[in-house]
Amino acid sequence: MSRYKPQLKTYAWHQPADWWIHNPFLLRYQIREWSSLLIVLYALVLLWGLYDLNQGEASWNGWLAAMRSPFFILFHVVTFFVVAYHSYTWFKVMPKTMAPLPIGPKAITLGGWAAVAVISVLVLVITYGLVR
Amino acid sequence: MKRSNDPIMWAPFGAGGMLAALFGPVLVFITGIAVPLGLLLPADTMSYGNMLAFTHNVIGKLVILAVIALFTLHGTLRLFHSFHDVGVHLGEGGKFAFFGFGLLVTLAAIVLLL
Repeated sequence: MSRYKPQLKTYAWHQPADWWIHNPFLLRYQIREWSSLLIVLYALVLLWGLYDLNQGEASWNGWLAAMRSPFFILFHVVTFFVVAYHSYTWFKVMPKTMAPLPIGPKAITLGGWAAVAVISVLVLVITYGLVR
Repeated sequence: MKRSNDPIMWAPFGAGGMLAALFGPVLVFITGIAVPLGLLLPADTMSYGNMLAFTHNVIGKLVILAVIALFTLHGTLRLFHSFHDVGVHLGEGGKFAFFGFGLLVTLAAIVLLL
């Protein structure tokens, strides 16, 4: 379809829909920003679990069974990598998004990544300890 | 100048982004991969009894509420701007619809945890 509209007095520029596909930097930007969709969906899966838990044991076991289905395994594997990418970028841009600190930008980024690693191990160990 | 409503939405965005960055990967791994597939953790990690005990504990309640509410409020603001990036301009009404959805999810989690 032609974008030529003779009734317009000035030429209106429209950004093409695929502006982010051809540039790796912009593609990474889009992956980073759309990670938010999977983060919201993950929260909704948890809310659904919370609802089922309130409904009783049979209902909760139904939620657990749904999580074992190939669809939700795939959903969580993809979400895991996308959320991990969110973690990576969150601390990578942190020197630019927060107020200046006395420590250097490299230390902020590396410190953030180290915190993710420590917290991940701690949460696994604490969970294991609570249910063992 | 009219006072901006942005800080009200950006504060939970920042808190949720930080929470998702620090705890997101391990939480998704536990609830979505390790427990369903029986990896690493005991088979009854998320059994009915264990989850009931967790949701009846004040700290457990706060953890679940923080994760559901802040993940959603983080994501909805970011999604609103992502729609703008691909040419879907939702305007001020759309912004409140997204934020309102986040608040609804938060309210639902609170009601379920009470």
